[in-house]
Amino acid sequence: MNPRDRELDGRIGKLLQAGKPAYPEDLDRRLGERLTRARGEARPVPLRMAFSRRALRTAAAAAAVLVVAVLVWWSASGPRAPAVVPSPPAGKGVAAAGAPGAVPEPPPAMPTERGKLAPPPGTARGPKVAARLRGRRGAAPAEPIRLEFAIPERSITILWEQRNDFDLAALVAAR
Amino acid sequence: MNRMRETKTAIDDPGPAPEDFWARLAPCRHGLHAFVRKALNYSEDADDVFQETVERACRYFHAYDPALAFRAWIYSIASNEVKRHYRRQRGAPGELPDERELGFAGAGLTAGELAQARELHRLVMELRPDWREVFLLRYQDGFNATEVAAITGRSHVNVRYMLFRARRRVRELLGEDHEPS
Repeated sequence: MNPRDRELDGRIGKLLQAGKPAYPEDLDRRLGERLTRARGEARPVPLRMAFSRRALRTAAAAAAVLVVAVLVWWSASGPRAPAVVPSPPAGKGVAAAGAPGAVPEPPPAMPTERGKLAPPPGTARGPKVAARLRGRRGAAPAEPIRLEFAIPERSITILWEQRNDFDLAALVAAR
Repeated sequence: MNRMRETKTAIDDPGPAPEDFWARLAPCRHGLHAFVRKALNYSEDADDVFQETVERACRYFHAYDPALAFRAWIYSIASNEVKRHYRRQRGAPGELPDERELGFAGAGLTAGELAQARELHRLVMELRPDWREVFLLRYQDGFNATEVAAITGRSHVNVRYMLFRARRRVRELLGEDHEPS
């Protein structure tokens, strides 16, 4: 600060300090009474929370409860029902068994490495078979699927085949 | 500033003895009252704000760090109370009181200085409340810019800028030449 500013500061201070409002005579007494009243709570007490803050906190809590309730309800409703998978029609082996209409026993389940029971070989799992049977574009099987149905009494054999160059399984022959 | 605003729990440190409060307040209570009075433009509420300041200081005296200046600490509480008062009610600047209330009597001023003092007080009353507060703390109560920044919660640069602008206005008011640019 240059001397000019310092001199000006001194003048401002002198002029400002010249005007000091009178200190009321009874102010000390009033102050003493006020502090005596407040002496019981000289230690800070938790301030009362403002209404807006309380409302905000309540709204946040309600929203959290709502979210939890929705999550619980959604999880309790269980997984969605799996897509209905058409069970593959009985193949040629059924006819070979010679018992028309009889359902062959599935092969025994094989234990996997984790100790879980693996599905019997040849048993199709829902989505996989569904995708294959639907013949989704671009998901055609590497080798065609052939299914034969035989009705010995009528000497009828139906041959189904899903080929690589067809999107849908087709009836290719009936003898 | 941060140290000044720190609050300690009674469990950590009991703080200074409550009896010390009056001993520390006594020397600075007149100046504090004048500051509050002027900061509120001689409002009638000034006495109430002053009492609220002292009551709050007494209540939180256990959190006061004796390593810091008590005067700066209680002025920071007064500054907050003044701000709170202005938030509660915004009033038009009041009228400049008479000379007896201004306290010019017995100040030993010449007639010219008296006129300048009146003009200066009128200028202070026209300042914005935050500017007025900074100006009073610096020139009436003699705090330096760093202490003013700590008391008002402003940055040091901001306080210096405000003081620079205020000083320029005062220089114009007192009829002095402008600073060479």
